[in-house]
Amino acid sequence: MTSGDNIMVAGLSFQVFTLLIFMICSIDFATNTMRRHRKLGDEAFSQHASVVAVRRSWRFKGFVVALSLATVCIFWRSVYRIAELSGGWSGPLMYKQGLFIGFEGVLIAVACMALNIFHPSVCFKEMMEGEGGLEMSIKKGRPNRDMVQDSAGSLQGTTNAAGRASLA
Amino acid sequence: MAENTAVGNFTSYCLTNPNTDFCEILCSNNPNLAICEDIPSYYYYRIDIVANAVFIAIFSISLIGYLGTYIATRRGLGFTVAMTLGLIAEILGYSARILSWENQWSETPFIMQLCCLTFAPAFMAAGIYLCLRRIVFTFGAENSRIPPQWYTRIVCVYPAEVYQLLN
Repeated sequence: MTSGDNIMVAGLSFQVFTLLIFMICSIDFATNTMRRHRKLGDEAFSQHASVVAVRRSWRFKGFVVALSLATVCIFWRSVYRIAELSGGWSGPLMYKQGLFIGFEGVLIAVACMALNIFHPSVCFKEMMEGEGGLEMSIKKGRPNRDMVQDSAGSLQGTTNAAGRASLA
Repeated sequence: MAENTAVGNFTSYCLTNPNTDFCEILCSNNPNLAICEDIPSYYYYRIDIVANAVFIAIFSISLIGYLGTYIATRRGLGFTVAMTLGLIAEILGYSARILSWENQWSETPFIMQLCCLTFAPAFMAAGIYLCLRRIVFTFGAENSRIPPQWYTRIVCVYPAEVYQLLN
């Protein structure tokens, strides 16, 4: 096993690790949301008119399914690649082209096409603008801010809370 | 005539010593020699060109789809950038596999497909991470144990990985 190979396996393990954390966060959020919905009914959810409309649309439901599918596909292929490369360039899985096509190519192609069909910008509409909540775009009046820009800084937490308060 | 004799000598040498560096270099320079079918290469199988060509087509269509959707909606720039980088890496990776199909003994396309295909989905995963925060806002941030902004912060660790790769 070469050092280049070690870097690959380390990178892939890191990929699997972050994906795992992401999945745990998503599942935690889902169970938490369902629990609150059982307890509080529809009040548990944000009641802004456009958010309700987005939540009820079939596109949004399709998008959530597509995103979950894509996550599982990328996770599966990353686990396969670790198994393949951890044996070095002559590991047993390196001999099987069918597995490579199926678990590397097909899984990633499925993930990409699922998000092509249920594209977040189409399924989410206004939710993709600004801070991801309508709060930010309404408050600041800058609906087309780039979301990468938005992610920086802890300032947003407070701005957002204020935005939510003003909407409520 | 002299060249034919040389190839003939190499062939008989490689028939008896297929695992030598000499024969791999010979096939790297002359991948179409009949003897090369029995010389070990970077791959342990004959690469299937059809599968790789189909993947290039699928990923190219997908890339056009993402760019087209962005041009039409002007929303989700971060997501589009992440998916675009991932798809370009996939297309480069499968193109390198087609180069490898032409010459399975050549090192450059082998390394290229390995690197591109290993790290391409990391970009796509970053695009996916960017979406969770928005899903949280759709249901209401009160339902989340951690502030929604934190979901996006996972993405910030990716530059670290790219840096590591460049090293």
